Amino acid sequence: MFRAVNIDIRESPHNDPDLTIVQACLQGDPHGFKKLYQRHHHKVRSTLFQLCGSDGLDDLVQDVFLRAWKGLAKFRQSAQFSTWLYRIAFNVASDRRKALAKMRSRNISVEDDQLENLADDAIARESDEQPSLTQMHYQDLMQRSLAKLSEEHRAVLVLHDLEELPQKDIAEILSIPVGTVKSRLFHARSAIKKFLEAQGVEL
Amino acid sequence: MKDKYSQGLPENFGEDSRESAHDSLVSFLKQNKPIAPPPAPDFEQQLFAEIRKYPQQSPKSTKANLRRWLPWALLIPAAIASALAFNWATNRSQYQVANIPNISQGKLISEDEQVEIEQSLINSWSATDINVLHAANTSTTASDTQLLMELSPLEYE
Repeated sequence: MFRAVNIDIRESPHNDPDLTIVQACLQGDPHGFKKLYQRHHHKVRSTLFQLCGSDGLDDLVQDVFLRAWKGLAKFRQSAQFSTWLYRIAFNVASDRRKALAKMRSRNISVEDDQLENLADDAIARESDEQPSLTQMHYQDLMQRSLAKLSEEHRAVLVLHDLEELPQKDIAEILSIPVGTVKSRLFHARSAIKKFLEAQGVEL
Repeated sequence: MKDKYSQGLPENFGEDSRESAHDSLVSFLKQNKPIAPPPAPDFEQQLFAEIRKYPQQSPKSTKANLRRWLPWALLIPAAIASALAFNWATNRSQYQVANIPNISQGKLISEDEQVEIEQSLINSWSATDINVLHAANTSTTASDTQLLMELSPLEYE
């Protein structure tokens, strides 16, 4: 019941508090964009991390907010600001993956980078939260399983299951029909489940 | 359009059954979601320093720019249109000069002059006809005589 009400509020762009801040930004409010950054940077950072890993994450986040700032005047205020921002984040992640693919074709070992990232993440997590060994193992498995997925399946799974966005919003962000979101989600979950079970995780 | 991945699914494979089949997986994913490392301490300052390099154009300044450039923007099509009109007018006057030279020079031929010109044309035409006919007859006679002379030895044989 609560969930349904919540979705209704999200779906109406007129109730989107971001739109007021966007308008203030466009009318020259110097702190407006900072408010938008503070409202959304955790989600954007988390999504980019799930999609691209930790390597150059700060640069990616900066790129997203810079693109958003530059394109703010073109933002159609009939849409939700968060959906628009996620779309930019997805494009940035997509560009990053393309750049990585190019690097791979130049015989630069990306696997080493990914291993390095995993090591960095482990160190960062140790220093910040100190999760249990089992949890670290599961998180490592999660990252490896996400890396096994194709870009399109990974994006849908990350946005739906990890960032908890509604399917309608995901369809808008990825410019695909809702039916495609559903089928991609089903296949992504099946693939990830198969991988985790093969690694000895009981689901 | 049906997604290529949905083709392998059974027809009556409902959303609920899909959801419930993956419930335990989804809760596992949420529980063990990898957490993004924190940003660099000066990340926010760096970001906003970068953003300050690109000042936001307010709608007012866009309108002011439009007002500033609109006369120049209108001048270009007006110049093209006037160039085309000038070109058309020039070509048309040249065409008229070629067709009626005396009018362009301010002179008109009188009827007497026209009759005189016509008569002289007819005379010269008739004279040419007579000369050509005469020349043709002369050449025919000469060639006949030559032919007879060439044939005459054969007749005596």
